[in-house]
Formats: sequence, C-alpha cells, structure tokens
Amino acid sequence: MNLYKKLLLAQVPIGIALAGLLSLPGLRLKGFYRTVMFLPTMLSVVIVGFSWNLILSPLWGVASGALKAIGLGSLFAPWLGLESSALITLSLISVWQFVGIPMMLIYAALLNIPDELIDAARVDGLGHFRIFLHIKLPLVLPTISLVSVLTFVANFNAFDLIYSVKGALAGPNFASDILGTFFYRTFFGNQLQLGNPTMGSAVATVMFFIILIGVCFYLFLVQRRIRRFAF
Amino acid sequence: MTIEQRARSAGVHLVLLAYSALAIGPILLVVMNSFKARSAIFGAPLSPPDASTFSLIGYDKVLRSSNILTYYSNSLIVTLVSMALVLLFGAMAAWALTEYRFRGSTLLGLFLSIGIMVPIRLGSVAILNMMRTAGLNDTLTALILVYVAQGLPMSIFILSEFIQQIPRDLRDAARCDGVPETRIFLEVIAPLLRPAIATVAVFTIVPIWNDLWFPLILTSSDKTHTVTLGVQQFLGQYITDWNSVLAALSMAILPVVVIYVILSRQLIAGLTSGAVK
Repeated sequence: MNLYKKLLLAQVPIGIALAGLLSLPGLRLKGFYRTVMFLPTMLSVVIVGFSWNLILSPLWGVASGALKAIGLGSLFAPWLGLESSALITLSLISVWQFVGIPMMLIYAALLNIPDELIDAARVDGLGHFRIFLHIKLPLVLPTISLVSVLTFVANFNAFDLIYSVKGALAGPNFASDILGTFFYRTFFGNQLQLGNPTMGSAVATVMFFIILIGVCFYLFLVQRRIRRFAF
Repeated sequence: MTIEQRARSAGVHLVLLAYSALAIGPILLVVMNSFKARSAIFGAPLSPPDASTFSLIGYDKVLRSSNILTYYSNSLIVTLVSMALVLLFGAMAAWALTEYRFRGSTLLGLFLSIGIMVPIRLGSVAILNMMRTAGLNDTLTALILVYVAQGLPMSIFILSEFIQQIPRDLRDAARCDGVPETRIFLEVIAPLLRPAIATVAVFTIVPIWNDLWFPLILTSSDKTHTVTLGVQQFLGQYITDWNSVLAALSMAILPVVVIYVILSRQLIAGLTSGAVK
C-alpha cells in the first residue's frame, strides 16, 4: 500500500519560488498574477480532479495535441491509466491546485521583512537572487516550516481527489491507493469486501498516529530550534 | 533602466505569465468547451465557441436531469449557517482564551491548536455512530455540526491573533466606565473583528463548500446532497455524455469563480494580513 505521496512536498519549493518572484520590488501586474495563481485553490478537489481527468484523457486529445504542438508528441501516454504513473500524476494535479496556499503565506511573510535589511544588503552589493537566498529565505523559515506541516496534514485529505478521479478502488490495480481510500473501503465495504467498522477504526487510528508523529516532530524538533526574529 | 535590468524583468514576467497560464488554462478549457456542440468539443477543443459551434445543450440536460438547484441551496444553507456559528463561537472562544487567565486555559488552548493539525476525518467512525444514535442521519444539521467542529480550531487561532492586535487601552477604557464584560465583547471587540472575517472565510468556509467526504458518508438521499457530492454523482452517471459533463463542471466552477473575482482583493488581503505566521 502506498503510504505517502512524497511528491506533494514539491508544493512548498514551487510556492517559495513563486512568492520570491512576486515579492520583487517594482513588479507590475502583481495583483493579476496573485489572483490567477490562487484561483485553482478555491475550487473543489472533485471539480479539479474531473477536469484534469478529461484533459489528460486520450479520448479528448487535448493533452496530446498540446504536446504535439511543441514537438513532444511522442511523450504522451495515458498517465492516469498506467500503474506506474497514476499516483505521480494525481500528486501533480494536487500540487497544481494547492500551490497557492504556500505561495500566499510565504509571500505575506516576505512582505513583512523590513526594507532596511534589504537596503543594507543592496548597499553591500548583493544581487536580487543572493538577497533572496541569504537574507529573505532565512527570515521566513518559521513560515516555511509551518506551511510544510500544513501541507503534510492536508495531504492526508487527498482522498477526495483519488475518490473522484479513480473511485474507491483506487485503480489501476490499486496503484493510487492511499490510506484514505483504504479506510473508506475497509469501513464501508466495496464490491466483494464487506464493511467492517472495527477494522475501519483501526485504520483511522493508524492514520492518527502517523499524523501525530509528524506534528510532534514539528512541535518539538523544528519549532524549538527556530528563533522568531523580532523586528 | 539598463538593458540588463529590462531583460531580467521580462524574464520574471515570462515565468509568472507561464505559470498563470498553467493555473487558469485547464479551467478556461472546461468552461469554454461547455458552450460548444459535441462535434466542436472534439474537433477543435482549443478554440473558443463561435456562432456555428455555440450550443447550450449540455446545460439544458443538466438542469433537466439533476437536482442541481437543490444541491446549490443545500450547499448555501450548510456553508452560511456553519460560517455564522464558526464566527460567533470562534470569536467568543478566542476572546475568552486571550483575555482571561483561568485554570486550564493553556491546556484548552493547546487542545484546540491540536485540532488545527489533526484532521477531523479521522473521527469519521465515531461521528457516524453519533449521528445515527442522535437520529441526525441524512440531515443538513449533521453536516453543519461537523463543519462547525472542523472550522472552530483554525478560526479561534486566527481570531486570537486579531484580538491580540486590538490595543489594550480600548478594553481598559471600557472597563473603567463600568461596561459589563459581555457588552465589551459585543460592542467593542466584535465590530473590530470584521477584517478577520475574510481570513476566516479562506481557511474555514472554502473547505466547507468544497468538502466531499462528509456529504458522502453523512447524506444518502438526493434531497440532502451538496453541490460537490451532487456533481460528483452526476458525473459518474453521465460520464460518456461530454456536453453534460462539461456543463456540470462549469456550473460548479462558475459561481465560485465569480464570487472569488468579486472578493479576491479582500480574500488575499485577509490571507496576507499576517494573522497566520
């Protein structure tokens, strides 16, 4: 059983990169970019999952057509239908949808950095990129760690996406099965399997302990070492 | 501006534009194609509908063969009632936890903050049993109760941060004038919390509107389905009828997008106001 989707953590670095670009001084059209990039986050996972299901479907041919247009037609495969790539594709859909949350929170933290620090670095001759890497990034580390924990917890809710795209059986051949769908099948039963509340509760308890370990790791190891910078 | 600076700014815009296109492209594609006839959906999926390909057959079918309007009103009732209760109880709890020191207040605060991190879904089994025993199975009340519990920890956290930013002098001045505590909360603090509503909305209301899990396990009849569940079931039945599928998807997308575009300034301001750091 596939316990966890590591790829989803790609969400945080992408969010950091976008927030870094958005917080550059003097950037025009900022409001437009923010609004558009946050839009998918507002939509229901079911709707997003099904839309991507249609787009990636070989029947409609939008994805293969788009790839062909840029000369990569041979790369196309029915990603959601292959055992080897179904879970990765679902994770990328989820990253696409929820990248807005880390982006916004980190963006807000970046805006709160006082200008004096940035100006001092610029006087010392640092470029935008090195200012970001050496000055801004360390200052927003507390936010980044909080966002990572939120992402970690939210990923256990990936049930919605997989249930709406692949159904409770998490096909093909259970390739996209996660604890959420496993819990649903165990508790409510599915096709040949009878529902079993006791075993369902056991699965939920295991999920609870996994999350608790993650949260404790954050609270006791990460949070304690981070000093909040007072401006 | 030197040439180098100009090139760099163009590069930044290129990256941001490319990502914006990636973010909005799939949504546009679905909405655009829902207004087209079947042959055009497959023939030219990337072109916008024109006079010869325009068709509303999908919408017609969705409105006739599903109770989508009932789903909308269910979703609206559940979301609005939950939001009102979450805001009321959240503000009251946040006020008590930040303003008064009483026995166990730290413990209570810690307990509530665990609620932010541990998803309520893990308690589904117990919730289902509870609702069955209370006879609330397949009612909107059950959904509202669950969503209030789900939304409270986060909203208490956000509202406490807001209350801490309100200057102490305001409450002290009111106290000196002999105003009772309930009136201080209702007439001094509560009006000042208005800007927090947007932040609370982003973190608690949007997940409620979009939730699939609890409607799936707590409601069974067509009368109590929410939009998310209703559309999901509709899609399952009509999977080969592309007109209806695209129309149903668009009908679920459009209201959210319209509200989002109208409120996006407040929502983003609420999100970036620094309450969650």
